[in-house]
Amino acid sequence: MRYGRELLKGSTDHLLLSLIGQEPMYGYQLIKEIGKRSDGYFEFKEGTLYTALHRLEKVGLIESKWERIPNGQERRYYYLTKMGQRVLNEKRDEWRGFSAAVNLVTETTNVG
Amino acid sequence: MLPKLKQYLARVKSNSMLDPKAESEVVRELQTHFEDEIGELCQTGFSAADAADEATKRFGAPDALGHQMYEVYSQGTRNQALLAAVPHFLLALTFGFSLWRNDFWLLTTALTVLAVTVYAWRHGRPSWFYSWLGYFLIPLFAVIFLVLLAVGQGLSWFVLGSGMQWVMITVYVPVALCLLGYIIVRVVRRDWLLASFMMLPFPAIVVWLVAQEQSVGLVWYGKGGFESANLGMAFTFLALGGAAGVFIRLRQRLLKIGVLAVATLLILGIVWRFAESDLNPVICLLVSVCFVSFLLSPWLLQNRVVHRGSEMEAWEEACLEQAAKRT
Repeated sequence: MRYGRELLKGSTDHLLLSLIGQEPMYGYQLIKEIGKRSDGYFEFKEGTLYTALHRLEKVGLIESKWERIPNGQERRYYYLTKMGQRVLNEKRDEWRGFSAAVNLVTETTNVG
Repeated sequence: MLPKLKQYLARVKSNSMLDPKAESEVVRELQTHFEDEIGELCQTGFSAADAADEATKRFGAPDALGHQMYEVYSQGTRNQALLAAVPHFLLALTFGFSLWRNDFWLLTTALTVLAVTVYAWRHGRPSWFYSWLGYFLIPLFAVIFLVLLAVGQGLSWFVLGSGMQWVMITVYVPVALCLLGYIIVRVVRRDWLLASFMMLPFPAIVVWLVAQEQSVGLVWYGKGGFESANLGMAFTFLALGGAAGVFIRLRQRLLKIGVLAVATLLILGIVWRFAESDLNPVICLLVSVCFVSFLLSPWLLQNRVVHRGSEMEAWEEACLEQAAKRT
């Protein structure tokens, strides 16, 4: 469990940028979406999510805008910037390389 | 808003110490999150109060969230660091090139400080603005200092003139002190460390004024008394500019406090060296340590200001509850 938490810590930016890159979202929606898509594996402490979002916005990877949702209330939607898209692509490549390497090693271990 | 949420958001606010604009954005966003979450929990059978309890629990400790938000926003950009250093550098130029002789330069500098301070005060009060605010307050502070110095030396009659003397002592000094107090309390209410940052040049200026007064007599010679101190003052203000820039670029609070304390000690070292003081080095060190304590003293003030603020909030809340019961 601790291992999973450490993994999540290192992948927070990647996960958030990926989701926002697919569709602009607001904080609560992001939490729900991450939980749903990971089948409950990733559980963010909600405060941590907002700190991460504000940090990403401050370094220019995402930007935010208050928008009205269908029930008339306003929510702060996050959008990916051009720089954010570039960083996301780099992170995706990194992750693919890393997971492929992990798979190669663990599969070899199983065979042996 | 439910009292539990109000309390939670108040604790996030008091620990994040953000500028008013960022603070209202953060609070509004967290509030909308709570609305969504409580709405959903209520649909699953929670009461409003239990839902608020659960929602705040899921959010994590408010103090930790406030600290994390502080660290996200506390580090300024390079441009902001430069902006914080500019007023110090203007003073370094004023002394480095003896521009204090030039009235046009002095007037332009004073108007620039005034304009930037008023503009930034009205536009979100970013961190770099506090070093400008410090210089905005220095004339008030310096005039009080000189009036008291003149009165102490029995020169007030001669220097200020009989009518002016009473106006300065009975009107100017109390009004200026009230204004200083008001601004300092306003700044401390947001973050005591910014009040310390604002006061960064004060110790060096006080030591310079005292040293110059002792060696040439500022009250007698006015600004001509600075003639012998040009180089030392230029170095002092350059060092202050450097310290202000580093302060803005740092993210962690403890490091910021360390920079203010160490910079003040080093800068006062420069001042003692150039002011050719006859004082014993140990006394110089003790005086410097006292000035560092003075610089960090807004921390004590914040405890009082925040405590008083929370008492007021508790009182307001009790009034609201009573009113709700009556209706």
